[in-house]
Amino acid sequence: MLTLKLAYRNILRQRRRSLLTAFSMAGGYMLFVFSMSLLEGSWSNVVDIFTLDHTGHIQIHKDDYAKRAKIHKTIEDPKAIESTLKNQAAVTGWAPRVYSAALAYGGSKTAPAKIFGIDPTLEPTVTRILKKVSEGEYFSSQPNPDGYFPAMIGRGLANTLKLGVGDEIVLISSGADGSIANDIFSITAIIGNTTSFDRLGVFLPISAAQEFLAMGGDVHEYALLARNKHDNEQLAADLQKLLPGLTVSPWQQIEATFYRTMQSDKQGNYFTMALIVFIVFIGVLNTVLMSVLERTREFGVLKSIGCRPSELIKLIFIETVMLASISITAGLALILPVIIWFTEVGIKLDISVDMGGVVFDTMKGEFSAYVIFMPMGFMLLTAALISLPPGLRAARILPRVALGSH
Amino acid sequence: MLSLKLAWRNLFRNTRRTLLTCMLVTSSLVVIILVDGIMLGMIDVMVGGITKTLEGEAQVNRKGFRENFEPELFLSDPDTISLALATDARVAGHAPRVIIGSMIASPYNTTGGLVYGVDANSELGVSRLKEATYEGSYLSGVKREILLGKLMAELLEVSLGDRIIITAAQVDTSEITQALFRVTGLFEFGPEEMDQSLAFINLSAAQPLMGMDGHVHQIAIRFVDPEDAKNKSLPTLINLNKGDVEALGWLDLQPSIGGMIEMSSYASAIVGAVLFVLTSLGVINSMFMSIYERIYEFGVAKAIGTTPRQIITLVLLEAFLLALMACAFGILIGYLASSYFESNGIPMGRMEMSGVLLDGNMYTQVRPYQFVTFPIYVTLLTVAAAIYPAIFASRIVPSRALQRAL
Repeated sequence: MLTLKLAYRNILRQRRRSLLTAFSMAGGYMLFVFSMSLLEGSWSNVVDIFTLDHTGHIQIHKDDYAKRAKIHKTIEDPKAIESTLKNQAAVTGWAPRVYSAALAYGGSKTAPAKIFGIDPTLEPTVTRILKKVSEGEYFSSQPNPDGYFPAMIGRGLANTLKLGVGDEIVLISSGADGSIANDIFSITAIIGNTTSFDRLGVFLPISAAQEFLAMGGDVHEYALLARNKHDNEQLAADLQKLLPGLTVSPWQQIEATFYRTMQSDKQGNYFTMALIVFIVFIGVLNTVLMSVLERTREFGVLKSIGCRPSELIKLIFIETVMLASISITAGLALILPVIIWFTEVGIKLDISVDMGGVVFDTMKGEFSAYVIFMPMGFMLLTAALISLPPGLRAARILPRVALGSH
Repeated sequence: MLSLKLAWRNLFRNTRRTLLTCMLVTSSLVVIILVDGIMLGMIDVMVGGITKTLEGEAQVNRKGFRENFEPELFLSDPDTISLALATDARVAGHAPRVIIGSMIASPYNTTGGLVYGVDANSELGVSRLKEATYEGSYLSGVKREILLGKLMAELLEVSLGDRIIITAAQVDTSEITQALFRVTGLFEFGPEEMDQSLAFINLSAAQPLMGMDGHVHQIAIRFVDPEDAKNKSLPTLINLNKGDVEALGWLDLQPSIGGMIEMSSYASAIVGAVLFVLTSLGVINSMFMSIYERIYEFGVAKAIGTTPRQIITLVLLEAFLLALMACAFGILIGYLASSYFESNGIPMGRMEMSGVLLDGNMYTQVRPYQFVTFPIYVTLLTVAAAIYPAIFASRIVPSRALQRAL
């Protein structure tokens, strides 16, 4: 208690110096928290965008379909999987899909297209497809009065083939059994814009797609949403045990290039932050050392009346850490509103950058314990370390020499 | 002269403090030099990745062609353009291309992609295609040759010599046309998107396939001086911009790279500004400490008639000398570190940004201005930071200062 009081008074003895030191620590902390928050927030925003746009948090495939898609690598027992998924409380949504490539005809024009067979009622439980309908209406599994199944096409394809809602589109592809598949579909909606990943896509009701591709009831993929998106890797591992014949992959594996890019970017930022903290603490070391040297005489007196070296080390340690804590608290109070603003609102960049196949165009903050306390812990630890050399110096002061100086 | 001598001596009265402050300023300078070098290196890689891989430094296209690669939007008079480019001394190379969105099928699998019909010799002067061909041989002009990307070959499960069938729709008639090729080589550009969805055949084979004899979709250009591509008033490009033909440099073709570069330079400016603030807090603090120690001295100096102006000069000179020392170290260390990383690289991890692969090491770039401009900034800043302590020192009242010291 006495040491605490002494330390507190010592900080206040040189207010200007303490204040300036506090400024630099608070500034360093604020910068650290701010950049962590932006980094985590922006990345998790991007992750949300593509997981909710298409990928989902977890995907289930047969074998290596995710890497080498082939029409006959199918999940043959969808019913069993669906009943497994229904019993999983941690899975909030799931949707079956089939894929294929096709040539699309509209009037006299042709273009390559990607077929996405989706379940009209289950797909919206995983992705934001309902919000991506930019024209027309979301489809159902039912054929129209003329007997044509509905299709929703990407904006890019619509532009190339000069097709609109209500028009007919002809698809040619090859079926799972090697037969030639061709059929007419009626366009009920245009999806997304010219930069969406599905700009060249044709969405079909899954039953129509299965029939078109002669796949029976098989599906290529299940996309899942997890209740807690941060637990998706654990959940994927759990599901893998329940579904031994299939491959369960978290999005980190599906979008491996993007994930690596994200990890590298975070690493780079940690490095920059470590540099900044280093520079801040050279300044702090300077201050603490000076304050010890100033008090050489004082420490000499303390020692001569019986103060132990360890007490002095403790005193300097507490002084430094106390100053650091005060600065960090003040820094936190100042930066908190900024972070909350960035978390709630964020900045939309007027440029968009493609990062490993995913578009990055919004700066968002993240407000979480990690973002606040990781920098705090790191800075307190550094403060504690930095107090040691001056503390040792104080502890080694010889009363005789100290009292003789000045 | 006297002030200079005094200032120099004052600095070394407390060598430890001066060195620590020096270290603070030095490390900021080193960090700024390194960050700038890394940014330059990164920009170089990104720009090189775009312009040297495939896209070229500039391109001639029909307006709107790049949006969806619609086959009808070809250049109707490529010979005139080629002639103009061939006789232009600024142009190092140009390559005509036919670009076909098509279905690419092997005996085992089918995928969609872009097939480039290229002239094997012209391509040498513009793209990296030949160097990227890691297995088999480069195109030689023989009709059935095709080069596949590494990932596409894996997906199609083919190797050298295997059959590939390209299906596309002919220009104008939109009739489906198919042609047989044999895999002559495999290439790897790096970015997954490219290695997964591109294939190259001979221009002479592509034109009849598409029914567009003598026409091409795109002419990619490389300049003798890469800076020319950024020059908006370059006659080479302006003269080609006629009617619906558009000739653009890479900055206009790839706005996201321009955005990326802009974002990077913002980021390094912010890091620089923060470093400046933190460093100046440290400098202010250190100057104050040294003034506090000498309050008695300043009191005496003023009592015997030193003007406030002289005291300000003295303190500022101290800061200036300190900055000079720090810059000398900074330039030395910065140069050593930056040139080390220039030849050895900084390990960065693997990133893919805007279709450019940043893999492995990032090489910094050493430029003379980094060792002139940045030290000048740092010196100015250090002197500026000393203004407040200097004014404080000049206002010391002799009577009080002398009393306090007793």
